[in-house]
Amino acid sequence: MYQVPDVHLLTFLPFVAVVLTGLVTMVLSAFGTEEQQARLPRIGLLGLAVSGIALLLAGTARTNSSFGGMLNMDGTAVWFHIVFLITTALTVALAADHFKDLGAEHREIYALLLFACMGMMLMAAAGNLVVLFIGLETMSVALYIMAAMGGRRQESSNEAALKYLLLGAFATGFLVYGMALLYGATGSLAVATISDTVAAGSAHVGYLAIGLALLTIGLGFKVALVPFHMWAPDVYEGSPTVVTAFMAVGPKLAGFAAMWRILHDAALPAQQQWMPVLAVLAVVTMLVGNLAALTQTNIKRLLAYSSIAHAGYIALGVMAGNQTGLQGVLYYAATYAFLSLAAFTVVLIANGDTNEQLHIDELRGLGKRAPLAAASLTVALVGMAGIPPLSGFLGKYLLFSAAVQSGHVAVAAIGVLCSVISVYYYFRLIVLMYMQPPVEGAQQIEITGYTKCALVATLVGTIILSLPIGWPIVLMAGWCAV
Amino acid sequence: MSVGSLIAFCILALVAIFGAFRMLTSHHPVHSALYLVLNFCATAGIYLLLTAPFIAIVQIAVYAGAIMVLFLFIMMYLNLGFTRDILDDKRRRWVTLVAAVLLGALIWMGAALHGAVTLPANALPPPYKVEEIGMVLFGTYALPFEVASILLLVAMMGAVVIARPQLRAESDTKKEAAQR
Amino acid sequence: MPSGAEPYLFLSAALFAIGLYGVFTRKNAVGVLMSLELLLNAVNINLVAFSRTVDRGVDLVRLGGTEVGGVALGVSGQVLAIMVISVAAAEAAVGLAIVISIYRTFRHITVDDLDLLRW
Repeated sequence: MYQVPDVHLLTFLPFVAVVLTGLVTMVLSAFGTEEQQARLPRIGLLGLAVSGIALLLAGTARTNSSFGGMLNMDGTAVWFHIVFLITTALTVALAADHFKDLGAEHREIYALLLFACMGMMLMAAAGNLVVLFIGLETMSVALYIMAAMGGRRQESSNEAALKYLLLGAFATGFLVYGMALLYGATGSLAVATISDTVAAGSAHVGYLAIGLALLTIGLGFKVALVPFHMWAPDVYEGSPTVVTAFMAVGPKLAGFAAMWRILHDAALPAQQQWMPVLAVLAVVTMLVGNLAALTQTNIKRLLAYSSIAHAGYIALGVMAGNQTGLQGVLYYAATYAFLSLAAFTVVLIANGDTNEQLHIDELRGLGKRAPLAAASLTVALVGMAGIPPLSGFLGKYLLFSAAVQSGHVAVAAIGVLCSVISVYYYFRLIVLMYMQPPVEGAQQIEITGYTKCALVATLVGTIILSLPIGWPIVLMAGWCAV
Repeated sequence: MSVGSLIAFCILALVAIFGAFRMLTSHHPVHSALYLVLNFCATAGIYLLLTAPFIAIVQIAVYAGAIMVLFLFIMMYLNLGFTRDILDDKRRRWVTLVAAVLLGALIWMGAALHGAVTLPANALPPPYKVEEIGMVLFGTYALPFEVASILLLVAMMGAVVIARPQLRAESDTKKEAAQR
Repeated sequence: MPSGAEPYLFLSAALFAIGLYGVFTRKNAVGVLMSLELLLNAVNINLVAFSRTVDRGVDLVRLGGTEVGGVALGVSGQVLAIMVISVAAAEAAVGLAIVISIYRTFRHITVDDLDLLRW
């Protein structure tokens, strides 16, 4: 009788579903007929839905470790997985409408999105540094390729892809150097063993400190913390907008999940060493991100700097490293995913599929030209600014109060100040959309098909997270954080 | 470390650093690549000193073999010739040099800074069996091993997708013709 | 005479620093990619050195998770080193493909003209 004692199939099924769908879409994108290729987005969405169902089953099973401790499917992992699946599903929907018109036949994007999703899921569930590393690299390599799929704008997207690849590989060097030193300090690559060794005080202090510093630099590049952010605006601007939408959400949140796995799960006893460093990084990131966003006139660059600022807020939660901090990180991850994707969807709509540079003036009069898009962008911007009824406020409240609880009152105060600054550039866009007349010759924009579904889904997600009925979700985030 | 292995280490380390340095300073890309191969071979020797022959073989076969052949292929495909392949901006070169030296020094200092309790350092290297690597790679680390295959699949797909001649030129000209 | 991993660490740090200098000063994209390979190679020296000196060992487990008993000492770092090598191969493949694509559009592969490190 064949026994499967430790591979809990339930905890493993979400990955299998995503990978198999990725393989099917890959084969079809190369060898399928026209009809089959037209169905690729639907196949991708179906696979992601199956993975989501499997994930809910895995969540009820609550069997934490799988594959001999390689996977750690705790509440945090399940929460992040849901966010990643939703992000990928929305990006697949956007790609279905907006990728075929770029002039090049890049049907492979669905397979790449699914493989990147699997990499992100592995990062969030990593119980071993090897799994974390290989998941991160699968995600990154898929993203380098997607960034290069520029179609008609091949020049700028190639440049963005090269820049992303060179700096990403550079960051990988730091990351893996940090892992090597962490391994040297504790003699193990398993997160649980590392944690035990550090707690017992039998780790090599020097290697541990420098290893954690290098790991923070490496992951700081991936999530674009200042001063490791310089690639982000250029890469976001040059990549196809659909890919930018994914890039601004998925890898960033996955990077934070990995950061949590390393700094919190593996090195919590050394918190006194990494906490001040992360506090400084978070403060600088919030300040630079928000101040630089003030002067941007290209909407993709503006959203890039805004995403850098949001990375600063999330870093506060990781820095605090306590229960509220994790709750805040989880809740803000879901919130930010919906808000950011809503904003980029509207950019895609206003941009009319051409993927040209979008000056913010082109948003003028969008309230008349495409009321639904303008309303969604308004919700997204108000949410990102953290105005009370919307979910961004609650997320920021959790993150700032976590920082206060960990004794960083000044840091939290700077965070509040930064969100006040951000109101200016977010509201400038809203004013443009509703108070200014449209540009000469601008036409009404029809929103149809997948784009409309994606837009409505982001709106519904934001509203559910914001409404009092969404508050059980906050409790759920707390439960996942246990 | 015995005296013999120390001498061997010093020679191999010098060769590795020489290779890396010449990789950096050579003006012909193909020379750079060949110096990098020298560096990889010296590194393989270091692995042999560490009684890790499997990694040494993998290093030669994959790094010095497959990856560098790919580099050389691209260089010849693009017909890269002699160039002054270093930034002309002197200030940035100095800043980078200082940063690189500082980082190296930092890591050295970390090595010198011992913890309160050192690890149970094995006096002798553990016995080496290639079977054990196989057991670990296909048993304990089966999951990352499988994922690595997906990573390579993604990279292969990406190389094909990016490097294939774009269809856009064709479709654009068709559209233009239709407009006329 | 040092007996642990220290000499190897020093070598690795030196190679890492050389690679770092290369990444930021090479003008040719292929040169930058080669410097990145050097970075990853330097890290591998660390991993193998630590695996032969400070490794705590991993429990031997059959595929699927059944305990087979016994501990494999001194190999887990090498497993990560193998992963790093495969990642280096993947990144080189994708990086060189992007270089070819860039060469097709720009007719050169000079990173500096691509305004790569604007900050």
